[in-house]
Amino acid sequence: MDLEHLTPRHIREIEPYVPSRPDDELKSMYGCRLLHRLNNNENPLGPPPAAQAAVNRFPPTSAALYPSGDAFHLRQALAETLHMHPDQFLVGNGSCELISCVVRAFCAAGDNIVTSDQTFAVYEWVAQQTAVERRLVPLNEYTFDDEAMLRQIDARTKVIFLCNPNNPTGTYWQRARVMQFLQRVAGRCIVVLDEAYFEYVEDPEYCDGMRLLDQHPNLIIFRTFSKMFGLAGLRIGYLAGAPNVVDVIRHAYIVYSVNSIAQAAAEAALRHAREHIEETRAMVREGKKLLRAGLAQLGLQYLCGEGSYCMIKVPMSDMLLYRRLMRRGLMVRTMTGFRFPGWIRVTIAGRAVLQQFIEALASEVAGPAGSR
Amino acid sequence: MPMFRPPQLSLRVLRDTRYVPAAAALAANAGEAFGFGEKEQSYLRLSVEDGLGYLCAVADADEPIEIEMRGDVHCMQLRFRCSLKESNLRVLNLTAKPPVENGEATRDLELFTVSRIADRVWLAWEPNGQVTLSVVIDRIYAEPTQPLAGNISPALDWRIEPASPESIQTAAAIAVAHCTEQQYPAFFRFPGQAADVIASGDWQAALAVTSGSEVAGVVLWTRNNSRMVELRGPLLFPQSQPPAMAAGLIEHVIRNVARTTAIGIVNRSTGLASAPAGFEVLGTLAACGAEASTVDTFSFRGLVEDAGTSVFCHPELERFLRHEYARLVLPRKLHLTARAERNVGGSSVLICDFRAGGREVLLRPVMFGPDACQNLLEHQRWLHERGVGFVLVELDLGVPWQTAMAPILLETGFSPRMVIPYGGRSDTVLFQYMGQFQHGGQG
Repeated sequence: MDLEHLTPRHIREIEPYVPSRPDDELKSMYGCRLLHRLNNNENPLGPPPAAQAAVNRFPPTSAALYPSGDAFHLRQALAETLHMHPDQFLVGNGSCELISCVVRAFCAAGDNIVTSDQTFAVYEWVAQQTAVERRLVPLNEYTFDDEAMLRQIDARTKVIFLCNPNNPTGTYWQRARVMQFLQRVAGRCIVVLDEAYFEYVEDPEYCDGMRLLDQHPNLIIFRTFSKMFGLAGLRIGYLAGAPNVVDVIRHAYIVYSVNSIAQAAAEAALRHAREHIEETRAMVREGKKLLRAGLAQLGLQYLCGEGSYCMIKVPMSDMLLYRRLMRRGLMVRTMTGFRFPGWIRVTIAGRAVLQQFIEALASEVAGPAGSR
Repeated sequence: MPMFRPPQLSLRVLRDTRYVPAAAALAANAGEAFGFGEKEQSYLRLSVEDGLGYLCAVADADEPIEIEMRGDVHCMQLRFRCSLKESNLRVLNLTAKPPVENGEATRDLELFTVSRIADRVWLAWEPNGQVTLSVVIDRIYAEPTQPLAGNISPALDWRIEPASPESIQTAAAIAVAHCTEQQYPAFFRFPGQAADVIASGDWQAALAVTSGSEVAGVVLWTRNNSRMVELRGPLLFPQSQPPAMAAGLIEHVIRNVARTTAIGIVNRSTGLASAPAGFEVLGTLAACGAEASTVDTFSFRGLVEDAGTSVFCHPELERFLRHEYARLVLPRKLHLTARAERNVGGSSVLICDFRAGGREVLLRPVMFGPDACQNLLEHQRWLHERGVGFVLVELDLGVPWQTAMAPILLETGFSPRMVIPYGGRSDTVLFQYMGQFQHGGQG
């Protein structure tokens, strides 16, 4: 079998994503007893109690049954909560699946997408997997550059991906900037506003994309249950848009991809999350304060904007620091893959863990210069 | 710049010498179609003629022999793939003499000829037992680079931009004037070759260009296997240019390779005891002979989070490896083994890669055999007689039979100098010859 002949060039050139190994394996490799995961922006408080109860209530025998193919009840709940029509929502196996649906629904060979070079990598990967051109616009002052992105739009541009707030920089566009951008795009292409960290944002001027859907039918909003709602392990997210746009995406949609437990837990989380959101926000607020003070003391540059994470410039290879912190039972995310070499991203966790992280970081950055 | 897609020709030939002239004729035509000169065309034709002739004698009769010819901008690559019924390939050793018995050439002469015509030869065993013999014939470049000395003043302001086939020639001319031969890649010696290597995409380069449009720095990188990037430079003209220029050039490289299949970058800082910022020092090569004042530092920059891996380890190398893995904080599981599994009955083969203008050679074992120690000693002597001061050996810790070479290397005056993460199928260990010249060979 000639695999090289069988495999399209654009697939061969993709870097296969290598997920981190399971915790037990990592602990064994790095020789640490405990492992604090500060790498994936998971919510250390877990899911809201109502969602946990929904998981517990799930009858094991129902595992034999297929789930609702289009997350019927969850879409009803979304419609009620967000005051929209259920048909304006599509639920996916994490927002990664929905990114793929959008690209496949709107892009063909020769088309292009526009996004940043230093943002969530999946937009870029999906385009690469589908042989769609990626136009990667550098960030300006760590923020999506509206002018430069607008200059990249041409007749073959089908989708613009904006991560708001941006992962990993935590920067974001306020409402006025988003609205102005949409006006200048003027419906020439789809604009995806990825609001994975929407529930963390406390700035009143932050843009709630759902409120713009009526005026901008080319707008699609992504949200997830993986972050604030603590359901990352169940893989569930959703998109919202104008009914006719969502109809088009449905052509490229994979039904039955979201399991029953995820649907039930997400619905419960959505309906009973107020306290959980407040608790999480308080933890993040306190954690960022602690982190800012610690990093200032160490004299390290950092970006601690909106979202449940903070990005730190370190005076050594981020990969070396990763390994050294792993040895101490602290798992962070290196930023070289986000094209920020020499930076790490840390998930905001509880006080005790963050304190441990700051102490470990202080000890590592004060280490022998020759090994940096 | 659009990526160069090299033209390719491939054929499958039955193991029958009657097809050799046809394949050779095709090779001659291919060389011409690829745009190479008469000399290179004849090398390709001879390589196919002799290579196929040899394989017809030793390949498995039941399977066809695959031949692939590829016309890159700066070289032609020829690959034979087949199953071997015999596997004594000792004439691939550089130390081998023309195989003649009782005044008559043996059948090994054809393989011997191929290995001597080629600029580079490589032998790889595939998991299904097939062997791939790769042969590279470089384009011949006549006109050497003319040094461009000039006075480039320290830059206050500069930009980093990708090098083009045109601009790399300027960088090469400046590098030849400002740097030692060991610091720049061999293809800088010919402007046409520098341009072709960049045009082919085999190497990429970025330049630091001052506001006065002067080239004040260059960095080059290539993928030396499917996972690692080899970085050369940055070279600054003059070396006193601001350190931020070097850092900017390196950051340019990292951002370019960060979301590719590469998992790390290896850099060799020639004549320097330090590594670029953000790189981890793997080790140094001790100087030897007349160049005792110099030291080369090898360093590594990971591009992905290291999830750990397993390596094969000979007991005699265990202490060194454990020390290095602890120092580098690399999570590794060591599988101790002393067995030499591959081709124990045949002769060992070492492939030579000459570098730094012939000052240094890197030996890589591609076959093990009971004569491995003797073979190594013969290589040492052969190289010593030709004034090659630096002799290195690289062992792949992902290939169990290569671990059997470790005690032989230690016995013959080699010393392990560093571990290169993911340098091969797994990590590799670089040995350097540190002993006195030994008279162990017979031939």
